[in-house]
Amino acid sequence: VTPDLRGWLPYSVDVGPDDPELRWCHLAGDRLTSPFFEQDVGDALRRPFNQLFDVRTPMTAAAAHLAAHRPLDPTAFIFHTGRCGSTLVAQLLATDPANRVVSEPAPLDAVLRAPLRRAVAPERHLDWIRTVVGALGQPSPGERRLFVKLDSWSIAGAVELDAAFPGVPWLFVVRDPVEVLVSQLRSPSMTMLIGAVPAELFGVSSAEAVTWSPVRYAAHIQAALLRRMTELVDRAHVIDHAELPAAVGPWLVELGIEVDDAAAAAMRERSTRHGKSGGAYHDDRAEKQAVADDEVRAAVAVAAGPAHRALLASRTRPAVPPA
Amino acid sequence: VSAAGFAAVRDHVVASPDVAERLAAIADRDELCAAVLALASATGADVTESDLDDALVAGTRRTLERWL
Repeated sequence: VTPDLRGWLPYSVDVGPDDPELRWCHLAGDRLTSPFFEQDVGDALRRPFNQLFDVRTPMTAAAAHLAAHRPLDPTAFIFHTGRCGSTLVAQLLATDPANRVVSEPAPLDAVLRAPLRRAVAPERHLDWIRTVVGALGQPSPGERRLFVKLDSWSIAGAVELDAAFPGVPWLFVVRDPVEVLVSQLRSPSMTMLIGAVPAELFGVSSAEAVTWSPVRYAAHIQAALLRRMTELVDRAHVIDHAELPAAVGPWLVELGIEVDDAAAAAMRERSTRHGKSGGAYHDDRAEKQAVADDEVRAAVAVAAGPAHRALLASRTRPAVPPA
Repeated sequence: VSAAGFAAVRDHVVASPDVAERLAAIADRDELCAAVLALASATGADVTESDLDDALVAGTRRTLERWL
């Protein structure tokens, strides 16, 4: 039986088998509107239909389906340093019902990192990436554009993503590393869990990283991400947290997307609420700077702070055009 | 779960986007099971209520394992 997976969403990929296996849930026409992909998947999996039917396909079957039913082409890929406002950017984009916004999808992370788990020929790896992005980009009704926000560590797979999707615009979202570290130390993200995200992605062995303090490791991650972004800056539009939310509109215009009054109003309304929690937003930059202690400032001063300044200085396009 | 009958229904659903869309929109378990049994009957698949109960239990377990 040939699967017709229109309306279905891949929610995980097992890259172990020779032909990796995708698991699917049905969205029943819903859009992906939660701050994170995983939340939308959780909502979908609670549907009785998805409890009843455990649907899995080999990667090759998914590719064949997509060849017959062309998905959305990616409009842009969003890279970021974590705790920097990228989720708010994704949520602003999701206010437009024409935008499909996939925020940190686990299946894409799994295929980007597949070469760390198994041998795979480069061209085959690119096919997997194209298939998974295509499967994630099957439009719900009304959707015409596809934005994919990656995990923060996925900048390590940027070259592969570029090879799979040459010319697709990139956005880098960053923030003063002092403020990022304050957030990470209060509530560490998965990035900080060496067992979950290999330290090798940030240029240090896991064996060495586990001997470091959380402050040192968090600062090292920021420096590694920001340096890599600086190497790739010619490829990207860069927005700093301090420029949000105003910088999103001009970026969309740069992409050739018209932001009409209704779309602007929807984004303005969403920007009054926190990107992740949805509660009332308050600018916490000053508070985070105030509570950053000497250890955090010293760790950031080693490399992350200079890397952040270097990235912003190297960008070729202003985030917000001069008035 | 009666593997052959239930798999036949699942394959039919996965091959039929309109059917999948209609069934996926059903929020009530009993209503969904009734619709799936009707579909099984129409397609000649041997599926019982007990098969569906087993599949739902397995689905709940999958979801829990995912979150644990």
